[in-house]
Amino acid sequence: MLSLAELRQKMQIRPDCGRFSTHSVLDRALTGNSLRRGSLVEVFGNGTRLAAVLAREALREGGAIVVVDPAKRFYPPAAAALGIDLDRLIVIQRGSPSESDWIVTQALGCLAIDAVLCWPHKLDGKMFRRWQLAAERGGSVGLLVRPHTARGSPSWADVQMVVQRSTGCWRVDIQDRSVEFTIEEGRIHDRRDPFSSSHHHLGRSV
Amino acid sequence: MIAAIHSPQATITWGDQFSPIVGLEHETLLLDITGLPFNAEQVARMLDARVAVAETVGKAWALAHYDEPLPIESLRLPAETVALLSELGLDRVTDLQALPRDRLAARFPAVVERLDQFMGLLAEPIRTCRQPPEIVVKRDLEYPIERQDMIEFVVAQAIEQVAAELASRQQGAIRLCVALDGVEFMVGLFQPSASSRYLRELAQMQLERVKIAGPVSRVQVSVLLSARLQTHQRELFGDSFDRQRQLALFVDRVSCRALALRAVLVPDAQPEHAFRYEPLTARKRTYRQQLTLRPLLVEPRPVAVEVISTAGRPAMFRLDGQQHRATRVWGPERIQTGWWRYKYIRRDYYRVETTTACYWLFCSQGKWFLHGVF
Repeated sequence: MLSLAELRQKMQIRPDCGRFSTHSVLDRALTGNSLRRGSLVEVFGNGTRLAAVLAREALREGGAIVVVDPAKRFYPPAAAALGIDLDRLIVIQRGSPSESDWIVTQALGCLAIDAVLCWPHKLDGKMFRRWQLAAERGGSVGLLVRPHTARGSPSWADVQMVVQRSTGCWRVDIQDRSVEFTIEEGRIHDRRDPFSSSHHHLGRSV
Repeated sequence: MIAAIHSPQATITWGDQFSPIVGLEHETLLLDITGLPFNAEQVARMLDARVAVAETVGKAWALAHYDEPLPIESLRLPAETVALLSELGLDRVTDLQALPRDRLAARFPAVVERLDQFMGLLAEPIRTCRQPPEIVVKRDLEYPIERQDMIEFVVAQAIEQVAAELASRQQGAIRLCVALDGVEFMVGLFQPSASSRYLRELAQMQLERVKIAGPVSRVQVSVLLSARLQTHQRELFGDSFDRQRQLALFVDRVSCRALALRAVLVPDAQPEHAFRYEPLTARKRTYRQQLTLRPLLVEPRPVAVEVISTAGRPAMFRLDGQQHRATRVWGPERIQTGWWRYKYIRRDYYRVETTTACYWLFCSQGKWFLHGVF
């Protein structure tokens, strides 16, 4: 008698690793106009806000977002203002760096978690690869916000975004494409055409 | 004789001290006190509750809830039946008693049954409910053991016994306590479980972190909190229950090594107190709060910065040895609060945009601090 998990494995039913749209101007700079589930996204610079918006867009029905925050710097009211449902947000605190790595692996490999947001300081190749495999297994998106100094190091991320502050807006470089945008009321707006922003409704006024 | 105590504080265990036959019906404790000493007035004072003593369960229950003359609601009838009888002009029990019994029985058999129970014409035994005994498994070892694998083995055996007992009761553990001589640790679960393999795995993860000072001669595993097990028909495709289960597994596993928390917004003007973390297993409390623009990353303690200001607004500031020039500034947003915490807070917050980032600074008593980065 096969268990459900064994049967799924036999039928090669994998977690949904489809793509999801960011519902914004960012799609223009992304390959396939969307991001892939079951992959890692590196955000270099002050990209926490952008990463949080991407995590919100990755969220599916019944799923959850995990924030691994051993430094205790994450501020949930700001996430709520971005339209993230705090009932579906799990914040993990109090853990040594090695434990944080393990927690990220567990979160990425969990079928019920759609996005994992973390700020890894040091990330060796083995751990990076482990995270990437875990994300593939669980179908979640790992959003790794890293300092500019980490650019150029070996990477297993599907997409690398470089976020820089420009006058009155943000500029993000993805490979050879760059986009300028603002984030207001939890939505990403095209800087040049503020009215062409996402048509995505948050379902609440923030 | 039957005593009825109408109080949310009255529990089966509490009622045990008065009678061996105790039942609970709609927050009312029913005790068979035939031949037993029972002082209704004293109990009423003790619990600040309504206490009634009568010959039948129905009458005792009615008197514990209503004053005489008793309304028809006191017969424990469904709301629809009560509404129907009221429409017919029957508001009191005496109105029903005055009607011909056979005609009433033809139209309202359930009402007649309750009336007969009330008057003692139909026997109504108290449905006793007993609290099941606590689940505690103790192992007193003949010789103290020191080796980690042996301790793990004994704990695993005790957990297996606990899991078997839980499964026989259709219950799942939510919180387990494992005690090894002087050392004690908890195993908390997001969803109830009676799987011995799963409980063993969680206990083993905790055991790896616990420092055991000396040899262990006594092992005790007890269930502190349990709940009814939920079973669902699983689906092969798109199983939402499977996602919930996976999430519970994740939370349980992570909770053994770190804190898995849920954020709850609190209506407080001071940013540090505008939310609170609660364990994911705790009951959720919600508050309404207006959401304002705040940075996603804040400093656990505001960092002092040197600021050059013009007309009270920051123009330049020095942080980590680097000079930052403000290109745009929004503010001030004044926050005055916290006198009841014995620490009066008065801060002027500014959003300061530079060429590299957008900072959240505040000025308090002439000193400047960095509180976060947008």
